Amino acid sequence: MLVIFTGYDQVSEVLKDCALQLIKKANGRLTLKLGPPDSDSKRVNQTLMARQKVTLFYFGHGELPPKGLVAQDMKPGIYARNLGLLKNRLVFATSCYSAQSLAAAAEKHGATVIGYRGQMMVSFRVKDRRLQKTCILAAALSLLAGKDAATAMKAAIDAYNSAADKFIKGNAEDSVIASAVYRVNAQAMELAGRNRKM
Amino acid sequence: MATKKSAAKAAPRKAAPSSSKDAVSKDIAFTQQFRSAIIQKLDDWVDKVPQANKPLIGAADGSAAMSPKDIVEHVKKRTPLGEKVVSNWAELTLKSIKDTPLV
Repeated sequence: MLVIFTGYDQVSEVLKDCALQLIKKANGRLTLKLGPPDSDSKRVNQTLMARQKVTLFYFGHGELPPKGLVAQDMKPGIYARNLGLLKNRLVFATSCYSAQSLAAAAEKHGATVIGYRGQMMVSFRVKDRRLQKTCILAAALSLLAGKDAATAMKAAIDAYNSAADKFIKGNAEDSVIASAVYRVNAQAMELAGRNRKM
Repeated sequence: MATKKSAAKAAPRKAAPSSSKDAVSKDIAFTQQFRSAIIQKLDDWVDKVPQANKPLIGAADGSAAMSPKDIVEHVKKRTPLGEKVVSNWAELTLKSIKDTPLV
């Protein structure tokens, strides 16, 4: 498995933490990790070219198509012109608009993509760190445990919904986080391409 | 005769849309009350929270992080995110009511 991540602002630092946690739990299945400062658009491209068909976990920003997934140099790392690099690959893309920007990889190149349709939201509260990480990584850890992509995505949706159900019973701030982060992410998750395992 | 029959049949039909309209306007009023209650709650929260301008949430699309004050503005201005906050808050509250044990 490949783990690619960035870290140049508050949101990408939260996602970087998730990537590092996933790497810890990879149990020898890690082929390569590519993080800051090395995860620029050129290296992302080279890494994907050198390791075809290996499952990819991407953590970082994503911008509206056609821009795609953003690399450490804040340039598109995976985008309309290099989606062929995802050919027959299982991709877990934790970033905004990944369901849209990688849709053609599933349609034209046989990739399987677990992504977010629209915005992927992040809480900066210290009290959310642990639970949020559990939610963000639920699908990835499910894939690592041998589950298929559809089951993995359902695990993530369930985790986000469960967190939303918990926080809606709290104070005003908890309710905002439940409504604007956890529930939004549960609604945004999407699977494209054929169902498969790692 | 035919006219009378038509009039008799038409009478109940006229009543139905009227009560349906009442129900719709009550639903709209309830939705407005819910939105107002959320805005009031958010305003109170912003008044009380120690750092109302400190970023609380962000999106993984490179857009600016949002503080409690920003979130309240999204709700008041009815931006896509603000509308999501209100509709999700309502949906989750409803689910919480449904999940409440009976005894």
